[in-house]
Amino acid sequence: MKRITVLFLFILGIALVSWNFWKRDPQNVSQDLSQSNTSMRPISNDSEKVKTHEVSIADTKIPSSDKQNQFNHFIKSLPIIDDLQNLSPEEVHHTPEIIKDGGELIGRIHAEADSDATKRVDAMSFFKKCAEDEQIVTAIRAVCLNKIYKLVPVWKIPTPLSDSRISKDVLKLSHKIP
Amino acid sequence: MKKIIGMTLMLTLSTASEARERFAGIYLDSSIPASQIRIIKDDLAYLYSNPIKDVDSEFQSMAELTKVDGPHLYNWVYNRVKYIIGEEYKLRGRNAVTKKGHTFPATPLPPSLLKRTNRYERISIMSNAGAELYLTGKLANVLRGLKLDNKSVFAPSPRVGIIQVGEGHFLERLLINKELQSEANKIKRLSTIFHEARHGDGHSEHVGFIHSKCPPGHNLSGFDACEAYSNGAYSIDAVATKTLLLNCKTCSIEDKTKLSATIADAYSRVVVRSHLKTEAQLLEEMATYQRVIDFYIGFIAANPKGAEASIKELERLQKQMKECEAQLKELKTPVHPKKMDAKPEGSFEEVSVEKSSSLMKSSLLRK
Ligand SMILES: [Zn+2]
Repeated sequence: MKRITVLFLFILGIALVSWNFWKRDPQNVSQDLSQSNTSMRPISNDSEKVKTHEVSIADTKIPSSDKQNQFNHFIKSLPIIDDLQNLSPEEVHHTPEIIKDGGELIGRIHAEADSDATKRVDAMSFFKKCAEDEQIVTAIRAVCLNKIYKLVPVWKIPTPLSDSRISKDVLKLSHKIP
Repeated sequence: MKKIIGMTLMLTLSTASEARERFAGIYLDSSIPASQIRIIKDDLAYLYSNPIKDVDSEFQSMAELTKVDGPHLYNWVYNRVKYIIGEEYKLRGRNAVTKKGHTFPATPLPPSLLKRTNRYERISIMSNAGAELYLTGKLANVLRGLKLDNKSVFAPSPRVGIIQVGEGHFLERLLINKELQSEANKIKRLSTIFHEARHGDGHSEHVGFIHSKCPPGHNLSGFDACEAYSNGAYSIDAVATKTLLLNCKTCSIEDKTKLSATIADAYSRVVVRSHLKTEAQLLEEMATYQRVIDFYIGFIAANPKGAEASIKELERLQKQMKECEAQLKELKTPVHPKKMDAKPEGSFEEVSVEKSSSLMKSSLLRK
């Protein structure tokens, strides 16, 4: 009897794991994004829930809360100032890899929202979060702010910013980017 | 006999596989792997043939170019890059040559060079070995050089143009996308060449436009990865990337954003202030320090015995307070990065755009 119970639990476990695996949409680019940034800050467990969240057009009409936003958990993958301090002198002479990776992530979110209008509110909210986060590397925040200024008139999504959270340096840099 | 023939054949073959060559006038050393040589050549040809239409407004004056087009940009690079050596090339030992009795210009050396503790022993992407030879030579009052192209190449100026290229210059993870020969990757690699080439310029205290320590409060605080000039290596790097990006025909949104991050990073290294805090932040910090200082003063007065640790802490806090006061004073005085005279010191030859273009054209015909 014990053996049957153990076997049953084992099969149930396998079934649950498989179900969890197959219910994920392999076409979900957000999932790809997380996979491409394994070297960065770990993504918290609650982000897993966000990753599988399906976005409908209705969702995009109202500003997304943190939990609904499919991109916000990527904030944790952007480089922070402390990450730079841990690099070697050789690694910081030219643009460090972590800054390039951060740029790539922002670019992929932009590209994804560019081709799928339903993702634009979430993308814009991500850019705002990134631009206002004082822990994130200044150059990356500037890229996010630049995205907001460039995309607000194109995507027509109002994205008010908190002046006190955007430093002069971030603002100045954002205007230097093409 | 057979053995001798075999060995001779092997030696001939190994020499042939390490053939050094010249491309558009630039000597490419046999220490560079063949696959990297191909990329370097293609990148330089891309720069020369670039039909530049949009130009960043700062580029022309910053690089002192009469015209911003492919041939002029290549000429700018060629005047600063004459020899490229690979990562495996040893800058010491048998390759190093010296000559005594050389008279260096009687100009002061950059203060940061005298204070420098770390030398980049290991290169990951690229470095201007020629400028380094000149600077360390001037510091030791010995003309330094390297054995290159079957001769001794000395560095009587930072403009000697010896660039060492590392594996990182070609690594996919350090580039923009997976296509090694994509336009975006060419732009990234060329911007690094512009950066290193700039280290061959400047004189006196800004000779080699060498980097200075990033100030407290900066993201890279403590690293020798900043500059106080408006036309140094990071600035040239940024405007060159920007101009090439503006003219990129095949760059995707991802490529453009990734290159933009490198532009923002390069510009973020141009800092004059010793800190990047706002006035409000500084005032807040000072108020905090003052409250703790007041506490310690009272505590030490009430407990004079065994207050050594508290006195030490009080001194530390007072030092921090003074630093904040100095920063606040500096913040109230507007400072801008200074444009420095880029003329290099020492003896060097300036090559005309006609000459560098003809060298490129004949190499392209042979390609
Ligand atoms: Zn440099």
